[in-house]
Amino acid sequence: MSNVTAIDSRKKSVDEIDRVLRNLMNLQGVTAAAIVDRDGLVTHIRRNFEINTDALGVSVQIVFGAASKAATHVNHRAADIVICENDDGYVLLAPIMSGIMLSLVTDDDALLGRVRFELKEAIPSLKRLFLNY
Amino acid sequence: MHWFDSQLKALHRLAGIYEECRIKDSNEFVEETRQARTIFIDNVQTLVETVVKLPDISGCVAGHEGFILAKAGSISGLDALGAMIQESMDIAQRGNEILDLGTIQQLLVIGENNKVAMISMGAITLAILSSTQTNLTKCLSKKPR
Repeated sequence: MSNVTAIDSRKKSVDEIDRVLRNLMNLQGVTAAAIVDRDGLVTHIRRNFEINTDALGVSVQIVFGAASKAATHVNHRAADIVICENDDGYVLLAPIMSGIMLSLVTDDDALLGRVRFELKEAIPSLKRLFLNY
Repeated sequence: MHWFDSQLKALHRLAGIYEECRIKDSNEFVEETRQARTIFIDNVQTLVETVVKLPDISGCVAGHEGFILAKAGSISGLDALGAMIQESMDIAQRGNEILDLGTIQQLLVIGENNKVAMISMGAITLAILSSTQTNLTKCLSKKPR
């Protein structure tokens, strides 16, 4: 009986995580929203273009790991958000908890302030969902 | 009531509702907070797009922590503008400590050619760009058609 409840609860969390990603995807210019686990595997993703999820997951962990090291080296404590500004858009990375990351990919149409604002707002919701995951 | 003032009042109310939701933010209020945020930001976006339709207004943006969150009109150097808005408000806030101004609500920077009015709205700052000659009070008094 308790197992059935756990599965239901997990299903609910998956739906909620998916809803958060869907809301992020509704922002102007956002082309992909993904959750990457500590091993660099994409566990949840919403996207509107073909994307190599394995490469994305690994890159997210490598880039965020490097940024965290840089932050430590300059005594800035933990890295909160990493923004990669590219020729055709941005990639934003933010830690949720225990090495799990949220990654957003945008095109150059996106308003960085809006995406960053919503990213910061999404993190506490995702943190709560992953605590019960 | 002055059209822009009424819009600001409505936005302040929405910002207050959103802030309240954030304070009591817990599992039960996730959806409520999300809705309050969406309504607030959508209204900011609508106001920015409406203001720019007024005569003599060249651009309007909303900034958050030095980044631009919503924009309308012809604006060059968007990143620089976002940073400038944040810096200007921070400097004004520091002036508050000397002059006991209270929390900074508005800031007006007038140049030889253009001017920018910055209005604080909770965590967000609205900036309205126009030429120096524009009478902003008159210009913002009526809703654009």
